[in-house]
Amino acid sequence: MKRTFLIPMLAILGLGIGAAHAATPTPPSHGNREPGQSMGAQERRQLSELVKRNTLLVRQPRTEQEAIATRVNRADGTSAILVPESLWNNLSVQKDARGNVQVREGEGSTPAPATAEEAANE
Amino acid sequence: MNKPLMVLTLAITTALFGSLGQAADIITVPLDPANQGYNDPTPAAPVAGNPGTTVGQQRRIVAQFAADLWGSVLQSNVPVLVGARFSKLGANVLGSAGATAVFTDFAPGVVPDTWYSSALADALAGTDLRPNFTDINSNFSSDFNFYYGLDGNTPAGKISFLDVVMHEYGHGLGFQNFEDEASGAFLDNTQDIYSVFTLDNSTGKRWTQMTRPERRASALNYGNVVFNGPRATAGAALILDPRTTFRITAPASIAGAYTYGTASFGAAATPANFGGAVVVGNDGAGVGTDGCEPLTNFAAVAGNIAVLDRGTCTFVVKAKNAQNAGASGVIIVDNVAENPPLGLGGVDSSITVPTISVTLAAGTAIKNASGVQAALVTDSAHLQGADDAGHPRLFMPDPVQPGSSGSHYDTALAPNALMEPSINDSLNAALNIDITPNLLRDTGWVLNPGNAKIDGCDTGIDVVDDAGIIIGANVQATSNLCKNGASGSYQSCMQAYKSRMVASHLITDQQGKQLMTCATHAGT
Repeated sequence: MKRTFLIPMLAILGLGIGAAHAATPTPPSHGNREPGQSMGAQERRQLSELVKRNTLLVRQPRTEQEAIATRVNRADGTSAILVPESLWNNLSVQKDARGNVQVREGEGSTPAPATAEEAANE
Repeated sequence: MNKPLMVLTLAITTALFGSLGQAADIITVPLDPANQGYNDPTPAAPVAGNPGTTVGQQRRIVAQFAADLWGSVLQSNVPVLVGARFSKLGANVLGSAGATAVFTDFAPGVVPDTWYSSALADALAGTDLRPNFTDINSNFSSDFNFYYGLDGNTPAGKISFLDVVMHEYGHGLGFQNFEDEASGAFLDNTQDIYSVFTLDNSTGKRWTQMTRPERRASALNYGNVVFNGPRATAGAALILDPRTTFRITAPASIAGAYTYGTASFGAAATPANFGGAVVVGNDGAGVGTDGCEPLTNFAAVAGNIAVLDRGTCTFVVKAKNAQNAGASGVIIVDNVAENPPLGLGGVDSSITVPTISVTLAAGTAIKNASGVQAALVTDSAHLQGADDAGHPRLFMPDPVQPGSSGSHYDTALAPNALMEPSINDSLNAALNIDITPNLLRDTGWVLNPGNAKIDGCDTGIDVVDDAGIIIGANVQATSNLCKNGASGSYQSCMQAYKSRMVASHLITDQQGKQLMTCATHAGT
């Protein structure tokens, strides 16, 4: 997709808004606060609902190719891009051959994740 | 510290001052539909500090507790929004997370042409660069029966949801590169701030100084890639144990240190119980060195370390046969070219002999040599899981493990760290997040320098110390929980908490008194 066709999408993606370089500060639409100013419970709820609605409208790119199509380069030099899910990180656990969760790690140079016993190599 | 790195760190820190003034407000935004995930209505009994009465409520309480812990540790004037949902993930995957967006050149003083994760960029800019969207998205597995207590006493065989959430939020906050380790490519050909500090000791180059093929090769260079930020390095020195090394001392042709894996059965291999002559075991059947039948060369094996090949049967069968032949230890040689060496799984309480694994290359060298002497040794001059300069190692397995390579500490760290790629039962992220705050500090975050405060009242309890102990953050998160959801009054909730903390010597009597002075003030 050519980037020129992306401009209408930018508001949907939220990538075309707000920058520290802007001459006029971004309106505190969701809580750019002064030091010491905390958010109240009601404000948090409202913000949470708003963010949830917006986030559910946007599908996070799954691949880098999809992500590249979201890149925005502003005139003031700021660039932004959505991160593809393929670059997110996982936390895993291992199960032993009996299906029990094994969370032990050894103290050597590598852990003992207690994988299913040799199944892949028998 | 080398000079360019010092300059870089100072530049980042300078950029922060003036825009970061208070604890970050981190808000978990559940994205699940009704009756699922964070909205699961299944009744649940309150558990260990978590007063929720449904599964969904308990999950939300843990997630916000984690958000409050991180929010207490980090400073930002811009709220951090974290999308959170439960879904089916890959086999054995507990959670997944990352920044939703990244920014470059958004404020004076940041490293030019370099991606920063959304939450950090907002903090540095002092403004929301993507208003009303999540900064981080996180997914948690719907296939696991997590422990939702907040006390760190995770029952055996269960996984602490708090530890998992703390880990995932850590990624989203900036413990993450934006590079595909399989190809070596940066996201849209732009470097990221995490990779600025990712150093390959074999080449002496940081990832941001490499070509794409060099980075691709570096991502496979297990044991030789580190995070060389000065704060993380200083933190590692406070936390990591002395290094334990598997060392071959003879013959001279193969002498040296080798990586090794440990076993979930038998005695833990230590310098005290693992050392001596090494003998190749032979069972006289099929692949004679696989140890799947009783060893026939028991006279040679007895009193020595038996070397056996991986394959055909389980690890515990091999270890048991070696033990029955009188071996003092067992080395399993991998049959696949991979590094780190595999961890050895299995259960057999009758096995007492210590067992380790080595790579195919190391094992082949051992088997082809004669007169081999080997031992685990303690190297008190160096740190476990760090290079010789004290930089904590990053996890760069060969072959690449998508989702695990790069943006984690190496599993070699001891004690275990929050940001390793697999969970372990020694973590207690409610109180200890080890080197992670210092690493985030290297990337630009400012840590809360003071004490925990309750409605502005100073409790005298440090929010986060140089070793990543976050007792003060725990105080603030618990205070929020007591205000918002705990059964009984705020005062009684805090009184019970204070009593637990004093009894477990996490805070002093004096700190406990000051804590309750603040709590009383807040409750009026």
